[in-house]
Amino acid sequence: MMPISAYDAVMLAVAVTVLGDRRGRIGWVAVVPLVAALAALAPLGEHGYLVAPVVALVVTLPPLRAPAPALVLAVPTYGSLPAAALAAALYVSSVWLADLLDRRVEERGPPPSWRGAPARLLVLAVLYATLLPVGHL
Amino acid sequence: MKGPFLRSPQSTRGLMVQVVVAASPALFAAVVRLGAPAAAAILSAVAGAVAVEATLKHRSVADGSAVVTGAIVALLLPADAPPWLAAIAGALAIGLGKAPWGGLGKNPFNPAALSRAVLMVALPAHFFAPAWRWDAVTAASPLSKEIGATAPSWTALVVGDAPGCLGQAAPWAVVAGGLLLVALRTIDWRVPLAYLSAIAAIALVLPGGARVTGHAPWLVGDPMLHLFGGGTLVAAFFLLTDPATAPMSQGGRIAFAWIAAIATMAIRNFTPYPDGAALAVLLANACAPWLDRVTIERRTQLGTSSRARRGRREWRVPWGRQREVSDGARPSGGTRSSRPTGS
Repeated sequence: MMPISAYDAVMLAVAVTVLGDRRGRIGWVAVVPLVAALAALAPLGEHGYLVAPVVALVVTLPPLRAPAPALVLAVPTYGSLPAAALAAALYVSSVWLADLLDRRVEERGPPPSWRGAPARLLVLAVLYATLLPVGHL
Repeated sequence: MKGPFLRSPQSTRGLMVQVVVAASPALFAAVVRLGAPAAAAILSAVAGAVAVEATLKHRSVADGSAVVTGAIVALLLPADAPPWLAAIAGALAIGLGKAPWGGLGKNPFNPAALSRAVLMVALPAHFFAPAWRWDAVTAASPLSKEIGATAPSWTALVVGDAPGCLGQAAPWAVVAGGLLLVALRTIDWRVPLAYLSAIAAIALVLPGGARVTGHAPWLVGDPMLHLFGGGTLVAAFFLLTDPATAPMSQGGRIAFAWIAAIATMAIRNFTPYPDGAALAVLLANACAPWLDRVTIERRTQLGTSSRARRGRREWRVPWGRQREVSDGARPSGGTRSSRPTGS
């Protein structure tokens, strides 16, 4: 089975955040990739078994209002700390852009059948395609 | 300042005619240089756009916006795009880029750029190494970072001999059409100027990533290649100037063009994508609501001086409490004199 890429995980987390209305504590959620990368890269030696519980704690405890996106962000393997930081920045900025666009779309009045979740889904799809090059950085 | 109660003397249809006339030299030059396949691609793109528009919203076909969208979509297509790809591109531009958002003027993303981005994700083989098939010669785009790509001369870039999209067949024709739009005041001249100057400046200073230094070192330090290569000129004159997807203020539009330029160059220099112009336009479109908020909404609350900024923080308290502090009336529009003396 092919593992999920960091970019796909981030965009999935953004979708869960925006569609599930889980914007609370996105700062905490954004910490998850950094913790996951640190835990994976730390020379723990025989204490390597600590990685999973630490990540699980970070995923479930601080972002109590947003465990689902945090969990998604903990799944991929981040190659380095800068890659994890980029994933965190991408998550926060994508949620912010999706919110801005959501408001713009609502202001302009889309057709009734496209209001709400369909319009948000379309915005997320466009953001996915637009930000795809970031996944190659 | 125009309000919603003021009507522009120019009709939507008139604007669309101007854009089609401006795009015509580039389309005509592409047909002359590339022959029947280019003509088929252009007609297919326009037909796809008009067909979907007619199906979803038949009344708005008459305003000509679908024809404009189809024509601009065609300029962004690879030079060897088959008619079916062009038809899908035109249909996607209207079906995804315009209709779901409520129609003309309500779309937050440029339909042509959106169509290209979706097809780049769905059918990357057609977009990652666009090539000419003219005069029995096939070559990779100088922006493609692939084996087989070569550095073109400046003459080849300006004349349109460098491989790439249909809009690259005659860059001078795209510039001529863009200048016509500027002369007619259909578009804001600041946007293409800010975008193109930023591209040139960034090209001079931005180092190349590993994908560039190992495969296409000519992409670094050559502003001409970035100005005339890929969809830069089409983006500058036809995509970024779309009033529905650009910010409303002049300052916002300049920042919008800079964002697009930075994104274009970052994509070209650090990712495997051959041409980031359409994606950069979409990213700038996504930032437009924020730019509107920064440049218009805040300015209409209060001025931009440091005193006004301090005042703005003060106005964030609930009105009732402000009245107690100021013992005055609610501020009425943001002039400095409207600030309560006691605050």
